[in-house]
Amino acid sequence: MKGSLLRIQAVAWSTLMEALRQKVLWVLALFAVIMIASSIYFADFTFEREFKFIKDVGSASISVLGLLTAMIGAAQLIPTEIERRTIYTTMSKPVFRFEFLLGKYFGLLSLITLMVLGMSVIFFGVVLVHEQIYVAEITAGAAAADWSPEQVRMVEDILEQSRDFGMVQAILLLWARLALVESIALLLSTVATSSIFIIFASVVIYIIGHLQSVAREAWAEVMTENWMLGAFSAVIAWLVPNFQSFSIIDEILAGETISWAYVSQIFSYSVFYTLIVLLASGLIFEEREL
Amino acid sequence: MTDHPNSAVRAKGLSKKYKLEWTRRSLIALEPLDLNIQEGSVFGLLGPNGSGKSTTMKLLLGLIKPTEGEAHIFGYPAGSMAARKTIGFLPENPYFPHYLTGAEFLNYCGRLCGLSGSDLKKKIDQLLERVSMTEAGHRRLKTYSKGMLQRIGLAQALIHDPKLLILDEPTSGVDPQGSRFIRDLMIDLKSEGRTIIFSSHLLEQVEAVSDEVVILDRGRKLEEGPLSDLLTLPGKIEIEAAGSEAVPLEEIQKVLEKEGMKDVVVRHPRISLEEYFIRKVKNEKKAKKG
Amino acid sequence: MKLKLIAGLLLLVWGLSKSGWEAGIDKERRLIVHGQDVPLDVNTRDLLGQELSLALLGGFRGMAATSAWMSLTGAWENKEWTRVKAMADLATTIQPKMVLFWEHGAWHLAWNASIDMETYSRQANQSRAEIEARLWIEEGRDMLLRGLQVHPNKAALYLRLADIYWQRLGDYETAADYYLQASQKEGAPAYAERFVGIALEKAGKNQEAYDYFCQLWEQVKTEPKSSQPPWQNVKRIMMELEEKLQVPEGERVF
Repeated sequence: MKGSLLRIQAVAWSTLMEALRQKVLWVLALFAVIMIASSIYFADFTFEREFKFIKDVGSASISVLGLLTAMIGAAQLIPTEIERRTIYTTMSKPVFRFEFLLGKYFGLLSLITLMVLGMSVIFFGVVLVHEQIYVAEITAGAAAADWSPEQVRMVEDILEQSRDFGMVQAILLLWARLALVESIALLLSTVATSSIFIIFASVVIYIIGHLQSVAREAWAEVMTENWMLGAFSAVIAWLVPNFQSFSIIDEILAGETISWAYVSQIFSYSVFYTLIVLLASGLIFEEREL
Repeated sequence: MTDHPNSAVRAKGLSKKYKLEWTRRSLIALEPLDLNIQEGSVFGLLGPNGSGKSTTMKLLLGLIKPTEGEAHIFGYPAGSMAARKTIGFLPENPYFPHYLTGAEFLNYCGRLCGLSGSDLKKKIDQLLERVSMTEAGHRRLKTYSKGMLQRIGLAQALIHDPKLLILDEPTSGVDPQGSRFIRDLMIDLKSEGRTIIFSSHLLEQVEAVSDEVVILDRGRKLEEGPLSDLLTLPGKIEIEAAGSEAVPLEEIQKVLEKEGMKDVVVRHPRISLEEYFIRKVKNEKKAKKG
Repeated sequence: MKLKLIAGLLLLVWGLSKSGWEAGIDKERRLIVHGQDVPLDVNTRDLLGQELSLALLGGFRGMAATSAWMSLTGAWENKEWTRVKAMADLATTIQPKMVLFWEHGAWHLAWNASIDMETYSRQANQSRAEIEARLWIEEGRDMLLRGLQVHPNKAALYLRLADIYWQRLGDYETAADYYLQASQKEGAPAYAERFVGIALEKAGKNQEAYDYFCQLWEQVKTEPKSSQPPWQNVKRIMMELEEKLQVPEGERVF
């Protein structure tokens, strides 16, 4: 068991090293530019709208950059190893195939985690800078002790949005969604050989996943009218995760208070789903001809 | 364990067919092959491209599964963890993770084999020394020449002290000096009691190191046996002597023909071009140093 | 081949068993996103239409709503009122939980659009201008009424609705009703409860206004804020009302 963990760790380390040495983390600089440029460009809104804008741009950018990394990265994990034949070196060593697969998965997941953490730090940084600008505007630079009750109330309003603890929930869910997407792309890469196909299929599953709840509730009724559409809906309902669950992220960012119980429910759904997909990937990969 | 305590590799009816997609036909990569390789011997796999050499090696490593038949490595089923623990493998045209340095790559391979800590570090230094790569060890693999890659590849194959080495074209694309280095290393490894299976299309090299060979063509075994048996021309003898200036060559020929020998050829012995090249380069180096 | 079948079977079994968990998550999500649970027996096509539009945004709903809102701001600057309304409708549909969209959207329609109609069309045809202005006011009001279905507890929406009735429709009685509802919600500003009485008085409901103020004064008269200007104003109106209603000397508060 311990040996197994060490081998998974070795593969994960090498996968992460490859990404880092290819300077993938420069994407953080891109993110910083997007955040700073867009927040300057729209700086003349009321603080309510401005924070909403910054939060939406931030979460959308984290999602897009994260999804691209997860899909493109995972689509290449196995095919590139086979193409470069580096997999022969690894798999001729006393390593179980599922250890190799998990190592690859967690290597990329570590990269995604580093990216999400880095982007979150930049994101909070931009939010805090804007908070300070607004507070300074309202209080004209006066010390906190000299604020009028009206100023205190306005500053409280601003802090309520800029120091919203819900943003941590949002980032946690963003991360869980990326982990799930990565596992799906990895599953596809154990059956398909073309990276382009895997990326394309991952995108399609991601989009269809947002319709899963509709398909799940409607397939039986649709079946009575149009059995083909009904059967198609049923397949979606059974095989695709419900990505619409994560749309709660937008509400959290809009200032809605969501209970940790609910957030952890979505989180555990996502993690559990990821584990099932990884298990299936491992079983398929076990029989793969290299 | 097996009832043949001295056999390193035993294969019975080992064969591989690939089903061609979209058609009913299949491609025969290897026809049923029997092998019995003695522990401590050097075994050469000969044959043109596509003759089944690499397929045989992949089958012994468990990278692909045989269509029929079975193979055992020191009594363990081919592809099992126990079997792979005993094998060091150098793939053909090795593509190693080019973003790692030589030492990092060996570290990665060592960790895959369950080594760690100071033992691993000592082993890495020792192996880098053995393949004369101590200085290049901290450089990234992408800066390596073909010969250096082949040498680091041998080092990684040796990281867990395997009893059996499987080397796929260990000298292809390597300059004569490098080629000689690898050949000498193979002879060294044999003297340490290791079994070596290797493939090559440089027949001269095979001749220099092999105890036994098998010749494959289009997946079929054409010939097998100890090199001394295969290459000895029955009914012919060879005489080598020094001091040829003293007796004219024609005289010797006449004497031998008088004794009833036929097809007599007398000439000055020649060394191989490789031998000549190596000697020349060595002399040049000595001259420079002097 | 065997392991592949097991993998397929694993995915299928999981797929068939996960729907209960997903339904539970969805139920709560709809409550949070739409402010209401969409019942499962609702007409399939309605459900499809509503969820479909959100689903196609592929997890970028917040960004899409914000983009719609930015487009609205542009339309407002160009006085393209139909586009303002379309974008406000879009933003509130995509992210109904954003109170700001309902509140500011209604303000754009009931004030900016309608006042522009009044001033722009006045030279051409007076009655026509008034009809168009009123149509925009009603659009703003309807938007708030829809918003209140999602946010039955948001004081800001009741206040804005009361403002429309007071300032734009001249219906003080209804305005008083909405100020009252606003004052009973969490986070309502202090003036809301005073405005109930003022609106009633403006509506000519003197007795109701006086009774309401008496009850209000009873609550605050011992507090220090009763000596501050807003409450002094209430005191002045109450004294006037006592005059108008000819309240007997012994029953008067002042």
